[in-house]
Amino acid sequence: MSDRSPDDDAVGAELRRLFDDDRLDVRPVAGAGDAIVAGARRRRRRRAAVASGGGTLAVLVLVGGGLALTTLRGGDDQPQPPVAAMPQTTTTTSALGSPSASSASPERSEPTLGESQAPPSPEQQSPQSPPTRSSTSAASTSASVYIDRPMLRPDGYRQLTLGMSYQEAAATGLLGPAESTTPPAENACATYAVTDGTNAIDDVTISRANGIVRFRAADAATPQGIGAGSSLDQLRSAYSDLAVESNGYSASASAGARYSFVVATETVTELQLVARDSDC
Amino acid sequence: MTAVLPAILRGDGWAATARQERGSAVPGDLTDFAEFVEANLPGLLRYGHALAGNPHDAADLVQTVLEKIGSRWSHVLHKTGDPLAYVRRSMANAHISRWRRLRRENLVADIPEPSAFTPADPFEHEPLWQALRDLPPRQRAVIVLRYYEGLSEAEIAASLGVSPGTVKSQASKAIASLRGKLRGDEETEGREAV
Repeated sequence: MSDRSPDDDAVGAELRRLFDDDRLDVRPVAGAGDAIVAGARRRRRRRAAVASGGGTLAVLVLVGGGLALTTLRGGDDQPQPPVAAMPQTTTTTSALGSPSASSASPERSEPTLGESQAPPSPEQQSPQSPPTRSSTSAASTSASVYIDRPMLRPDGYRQLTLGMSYQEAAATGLLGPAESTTPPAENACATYAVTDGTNAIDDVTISRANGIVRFRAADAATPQGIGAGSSLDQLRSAYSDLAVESNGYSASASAGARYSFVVATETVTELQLVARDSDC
Repeated sequence: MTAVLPAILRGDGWAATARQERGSAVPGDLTDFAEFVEANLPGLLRYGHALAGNPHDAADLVQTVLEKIGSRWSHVLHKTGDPLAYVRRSMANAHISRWRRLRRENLVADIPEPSAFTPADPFEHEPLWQALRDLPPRQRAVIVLRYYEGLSEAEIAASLGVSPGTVKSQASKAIASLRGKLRGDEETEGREAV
């Protein structure tokens, strides 16, 4: 972030001033911490209950994150997640930072639980498959579309594999220009561009302790043909074990790693391969 | 630091909270979590305010993310040496994904502001704050991580799980749009009140 025009600097300076403003402070109400700890405990208990609740629920989760999660949430038959940030609900759902007289009790914070687990794009808007927007991208099978894509295997890309130390990775000659790269610092991680003459992989993140812990794909796709540009439908039909993440989904790649799919507006925008054991 | 928002403040409240937590109900690892929450709540709320744009959503964001993380506290501690950074990253990502849902809701029905419960926006007269409001959430997150958190491009990329190139383009789009809005405000003032 160096070469900014004076104009950008002016906006940047304004932004810094704004973000430094005391008026940004939000004071927690008394008991806010209690409410959060109680909420965390409730959540943990509920998860334990679900985990021991047998196979049926688990299968539901596997089928499709969106459907299953809303089903799990206390049997409310609304397909849509409660939107806690809507104006009329905020005063009762937030137990902290209350700006008005609503000293919400811990119990009333319940509706927000599970909220951020909701998938970013459940298919509630279009129950059928959407043929309308596939006029430009082949709608048939994912494999035919991405058959030529470079592959981000469950263990890595080309000679770069998960767990590989910085030294080993550098020795492959696939990391950015040698003179510009240094090993990750003690107890730290660093990200390195992958420069193999293709645009398959953007970069890898290497931890001092765990070696390569993450690949970030550009053009590369999984062996199932899913990568940036795949539709959510293609993702779902390629992976039956999708888990919901904060900004998309993930699927198990191997015992020690998962594919992470960033999804926006029903489209995979980024593919990553992430090691389970990562300190980054 | 004047309290713009009427709130029940600290003093005995916090001390009492802490005592109660330590003394009674919190078993095992959640004691640790309670202390973490107590120490970091004000800072996280402030950060949430910058991210979400208003105190209500800030509180909501903080609560949702902390509860989720608290429920897996020992795992999170094990996984990351810096739980605070982890919480902040999660907040940025939760903000982005939440906004997507909100937008979808808003397309379905336009909900009128219940003015009785809406406190005055402390930044009502800040054109820049108003302009930030119109940024797509990922752009806003990039701006906040950069100018509030002071993170580098690479750090922002790692936090949001996107490529550095994405961060760069989102940042420059955001700056351009903020600049345009600020200028536009000045220019439109008398001119095109269409």
